[in-house]
Amino acid sequence: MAIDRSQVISQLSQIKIKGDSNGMVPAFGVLVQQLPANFWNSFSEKILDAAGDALYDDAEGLLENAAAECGYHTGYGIITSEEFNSVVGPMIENKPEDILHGAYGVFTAWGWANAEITELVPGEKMVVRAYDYYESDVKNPKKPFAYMIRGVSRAFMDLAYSDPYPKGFGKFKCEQTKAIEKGDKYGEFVVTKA
Amino acid sequence: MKIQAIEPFEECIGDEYMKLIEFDTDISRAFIFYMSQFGEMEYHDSFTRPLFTLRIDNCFTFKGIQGFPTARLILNPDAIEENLKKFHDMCEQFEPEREYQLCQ
Repeated sequence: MAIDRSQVISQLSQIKIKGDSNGMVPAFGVLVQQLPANFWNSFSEKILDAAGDALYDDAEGLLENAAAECGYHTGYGIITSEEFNSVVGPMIENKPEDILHGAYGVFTAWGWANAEITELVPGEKMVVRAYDYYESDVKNPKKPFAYMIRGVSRAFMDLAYSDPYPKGFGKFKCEQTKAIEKGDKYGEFVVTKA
Repeated sequence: MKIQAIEPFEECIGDEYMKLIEFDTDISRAFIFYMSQFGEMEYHDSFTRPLFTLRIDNCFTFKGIQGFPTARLILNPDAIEENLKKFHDMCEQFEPEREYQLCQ
């Protein structure tokens, strides 16, 4: 693997995050916003509470899918951005595997999750380990709570191995097999074909 | 610097005000320095591919990589044409033979 993860994180962390007068941050080819992590966690918790037991699984699916949709489009923005081309571009030797590794460097540098790929079977399977992520701040969730990482991880596999963007969404699924929020030392996410 | 083409971003919610700019030559260090006089320039020349971002309040954000012929322009949506013209004029007035200092 050619990706120097620590250098990617170090260099991307030097890039200033600055929003316009509407709070929108033009980065990675898309417009993003910087919001407190507990805003999103509270949002998810309230949706799941409102859904109740009968609709809990459905609400979980919607949260995960929202993250996947976002991850698919934002992920594409990331890997085609100036920032990515500048920092990760010179390290890419094997496509799309190095691009995937680089994308998790961005994911870490920008504070979504300190996450990296620990196993990758091209086109088939990816295992991601997250040592810190904002969804792990949730106290005593009923089930593993990292809908964002689940959704984004399967979206990244779609970008790497499904039909070219924007026609490749939804070909992979992701299961969270370990969770800091449930007492594990790290979060683990297994992506396989849907 | 001559602008050869201005293309909207496809598959992006902001395609009216997010543009891909194609120049007739690669973006040089001198051009980055020249542009820095107009706003807040962030320049990472320690990167293997030096990255720059120029922010001019209420006008546009211009970002790209030194040595590449394309860059991105994110315009203030309230005055797209006006700011596009402003950007165009700035590029046209660049003198490649002149020496410029980086303003940060």
